Amino acid sequence: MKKIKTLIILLFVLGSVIFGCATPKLIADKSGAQLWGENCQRCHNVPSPTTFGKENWEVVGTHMKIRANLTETEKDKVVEFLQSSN
Amino acid sequence: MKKLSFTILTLLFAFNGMGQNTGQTATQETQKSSDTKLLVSGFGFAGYSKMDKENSNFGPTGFNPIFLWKKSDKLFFESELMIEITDGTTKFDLEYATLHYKLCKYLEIGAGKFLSPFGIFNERIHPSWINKFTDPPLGFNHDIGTMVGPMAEIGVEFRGGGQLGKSKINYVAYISNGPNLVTDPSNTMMTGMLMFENINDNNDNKAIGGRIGFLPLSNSSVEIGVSGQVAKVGDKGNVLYQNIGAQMYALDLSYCHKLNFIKSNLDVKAQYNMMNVDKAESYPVMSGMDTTWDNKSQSYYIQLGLRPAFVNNNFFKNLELAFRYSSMTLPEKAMWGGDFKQSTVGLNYWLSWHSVLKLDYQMNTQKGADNRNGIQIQWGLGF
Repeated sequence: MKKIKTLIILLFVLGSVIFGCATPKLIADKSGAQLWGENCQRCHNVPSPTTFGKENWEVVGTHMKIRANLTETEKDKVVEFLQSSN
Repeated sequence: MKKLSFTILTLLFAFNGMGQNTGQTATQETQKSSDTKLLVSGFGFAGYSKMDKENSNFGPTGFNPIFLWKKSDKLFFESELMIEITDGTTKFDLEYATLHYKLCKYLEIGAGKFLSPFGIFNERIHPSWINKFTDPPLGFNHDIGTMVGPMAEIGVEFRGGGQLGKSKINYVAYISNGPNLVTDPSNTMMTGMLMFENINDNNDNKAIGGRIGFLPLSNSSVEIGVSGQVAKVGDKGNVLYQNIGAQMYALDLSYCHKLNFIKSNLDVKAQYNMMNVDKAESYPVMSGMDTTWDNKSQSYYIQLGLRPAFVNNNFFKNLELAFRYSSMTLPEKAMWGGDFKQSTVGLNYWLSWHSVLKLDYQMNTQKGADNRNGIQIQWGLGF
């Protein structure tokens, strides 16, 4: 039971630290296109925006957020870019 | 238990508060599309192999449909089936089936069967159109007796990620049934082995595990991860084994970089898995065998891929050179023990961003056995 508590406390501390950090302008200004290039190629080739339709990019984005542990902001920006380029 | 429940509830409320303070208000959430969206994705592969002193063979071949269902902005379901013809049999398995609920932008909860966040190979690289080689590294496949570390869990997970200044961090923590230890006297060939498909938990103890990934550079090109899992693995009520525990750790590395001077992309992946099962007083074994041993296993791999993606030739820009070295050491005194090494040189041709033809030459060595070398060909397709 101690292990569970330790894990929970660790998660909480991590979340607090992340939430407490201001995002630098360099990161905040990144476009969806830039994030699409940077993050997809960490595991596989970068997909074309025409691979899926607008609706499906939202589903794929959610799936990729889980698989690659993308941040919520990254996922939103990448999906928005792919939908707008479709 | 009450204290634990209180702690969890406090944590969930705290995280939810964080998400709302950052502008993701409930109203904004509901203003987004909430229509149900279903997508069938997945991958398939077909192969051929010719190893020294063995018959040439078409196969393995497989089909892994992935079902993605986005019910709302918070609720998401994903599932992968595995249908594979290999070693003369057809395997059918539920790789994962997980229901996810977004608690806030930094945390979501998942429940069901999910891929173990133990390193990165399992969660991210296993699909045939992503894996640069025709097979997984030693210790990273699904075959019983050759898994060093968990592949999937049945339980509950919490995961998320966020910015940490210019760096990024991601995290997963989970509680699951965990593995069980084979101590059945009628199965002495597998005695001392950990079985990870623990669908009906063999004891009340639950495995605790997780992974923390750190991406130090602002362009996300480097990720370093640390994973772990601890669990009691013996059968409940079996006084000889019920207190035996297992500890597993993994280190992983991912690095992607554009090499301008040769107009190529370099992709490096590596992972080290270590598994320790507490020493048992005595295992049921075949006569003449040692009755106990240090039950420690390890495996690791390092792979490099080099693709001249920026040259002005359509043929060469789709070629990729790949090299992988992997090693697996299982307890020497166990019936299933051994020391294995493997080197693979690969040449891949990308037909599209999600379709690849792979040609591997693989050299396998095993202590006390003949070398096993040969070629393997595979066509992998993601859809």
